[in-house]
Amino acid sequence: MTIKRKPAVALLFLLPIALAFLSFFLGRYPITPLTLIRVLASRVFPIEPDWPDTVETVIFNIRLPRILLGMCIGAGLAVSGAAFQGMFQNPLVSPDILGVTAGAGFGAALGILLSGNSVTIQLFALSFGILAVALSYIISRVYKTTPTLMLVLSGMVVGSIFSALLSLVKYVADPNQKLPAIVFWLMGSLAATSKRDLVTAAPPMILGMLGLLSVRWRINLLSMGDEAARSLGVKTELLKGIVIVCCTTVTASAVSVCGIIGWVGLVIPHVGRMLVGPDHKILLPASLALGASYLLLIDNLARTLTSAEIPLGILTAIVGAPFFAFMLRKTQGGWQ
Amino acid sequence: MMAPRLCLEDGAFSYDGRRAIFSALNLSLHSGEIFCLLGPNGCGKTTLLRCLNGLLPLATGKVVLDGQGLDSLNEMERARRMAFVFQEENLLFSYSVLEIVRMGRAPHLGFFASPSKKDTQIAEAALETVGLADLREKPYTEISGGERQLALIARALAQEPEILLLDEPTSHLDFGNQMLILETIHRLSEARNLSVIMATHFPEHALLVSNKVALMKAGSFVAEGQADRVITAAALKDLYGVAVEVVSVTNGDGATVKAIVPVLRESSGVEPQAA
Repeated sequence: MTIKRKPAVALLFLLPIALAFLSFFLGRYPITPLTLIRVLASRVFPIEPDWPDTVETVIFNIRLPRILLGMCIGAGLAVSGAAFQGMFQNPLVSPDILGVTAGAGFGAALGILLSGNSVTIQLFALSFGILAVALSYIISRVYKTTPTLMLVLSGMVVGSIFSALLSLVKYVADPNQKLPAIVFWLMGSLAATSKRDLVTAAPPMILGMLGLLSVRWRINLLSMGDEAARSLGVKTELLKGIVIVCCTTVTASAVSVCGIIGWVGLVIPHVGRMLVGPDHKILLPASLALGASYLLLIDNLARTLTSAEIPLGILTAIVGAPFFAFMLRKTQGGWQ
Repeated sequence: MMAPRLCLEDGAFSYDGRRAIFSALNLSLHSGEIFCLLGPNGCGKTTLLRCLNGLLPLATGKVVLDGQGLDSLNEMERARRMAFVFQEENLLFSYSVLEIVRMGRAPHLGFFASPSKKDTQIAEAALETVGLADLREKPYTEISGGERQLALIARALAQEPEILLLDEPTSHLDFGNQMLILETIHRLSEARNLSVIMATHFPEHALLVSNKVALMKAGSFVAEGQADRVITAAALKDLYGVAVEVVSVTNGDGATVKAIVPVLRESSGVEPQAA
């Protein structure tokens, strides 16, 4: 059932665009399609506004940033997951394999404990996420190389250290105010997305994705194993470094604005592989489109399913895991 | 006499700096030559091939490629001149055979580039050469062991190298596929003047295709030279501890070829009782 022809892959990109358009109409404040088109067009064409200011606020300050950021995060996590699964030659790898989410989670919790200011939380999450990956990388280096197995193991070590530190922060946090804030943050949500979040988090994520896309064919070579890649003239250390830096930039930025969102980076690459095959040259763009669509869909559910928002991290697993189980049964593995 | 394509001068290697895997090895490979490395498991054949390819650094000595030290060439330059066919590649992802072969174009492509139409044509020609043209769209994980080995040889050919290093290309294969691989290697070395170094477990294969043979034992060459002179009953007994007879057979074309007949040792166990 794999799609081989290029137009079919291009068609995949219509999915997130269509979903994004539909997402504007969801929410407590009703907006008609015509108004939406006119409001959006008014930014480019000279259209006299005959709609209330509230409409513009809802569209540009609330729904647009949330839609764009959600798509960006979904795309970023999916592309990073696909790149890491290729590089580690392991279908069970997700973008947090090197400890980035554990580090970022600890950083955010520490930020909440110390100040509670959203800029501080974001900065702490970002820096500790990057720190965790840097530690994993340094620990895994032997004889100027970073064997894949060593990377995975040191990622586990660093991840568990930061999980323990996170527990420590939770343990000492004030149980009435700080602890719930930490717990909710860790569940992941886009509810508080502002324009500022979009401006600070989207550019590094887009840069990271572009970096991964630019070396996507070479990830095929990495997936043949270190030795085979080197004998084919690949500077494996440089290439691995680029992939790790890009994935970390994407994942740490994503986690720092929306908390921990699991499953996207693990499942979407599998869905992509079932649709377009294992070649990373096509798989990465396909994962990008699928990831953007998936997180947008989940976020729409998160904000409309009940009157209170459901945390994203819960929904990605509750919807994603059974779907993944279904796909696994249907394709008997898919990557084989 | 032409200058050798590939030379190893006084090479030694050790993983831990104490125990040498091999030491004081000299080797030279000329254009169009097939050089076979014979030796028991663990004698250092594969390590030697890795050092020749630059995958492992020599402790002492140097590898010289067409008069240039291997150290002075970068990975891409090496891969354009020398290709390594690995023993087996366990793949997780089911790339198509063509995609696998296309990876051989990597040393000819810029860092951010992916294979062009021309690269695909070169890959297809390589598949044609090894007789796998029909399998181009098949997943690599679904073809037979012999076909995989041929696909890896095709990938090496797509690198357009002058030197081919093969690590036990015929181990895990059935009799027919062993001969198919040997014929392919022989044909390539004749038709394209490829120089080949091949590690093998089969002395017969060395007799069939090679110009030169080195017998390797515990990290050094115990004998080196023309295949039919080096591969003797005494040498094989010394190398593998197995009694053999080397016999000459006249084949259908009237040519004399050597064959190796192992002799079973006296059983030390208890004979089963006759019923």
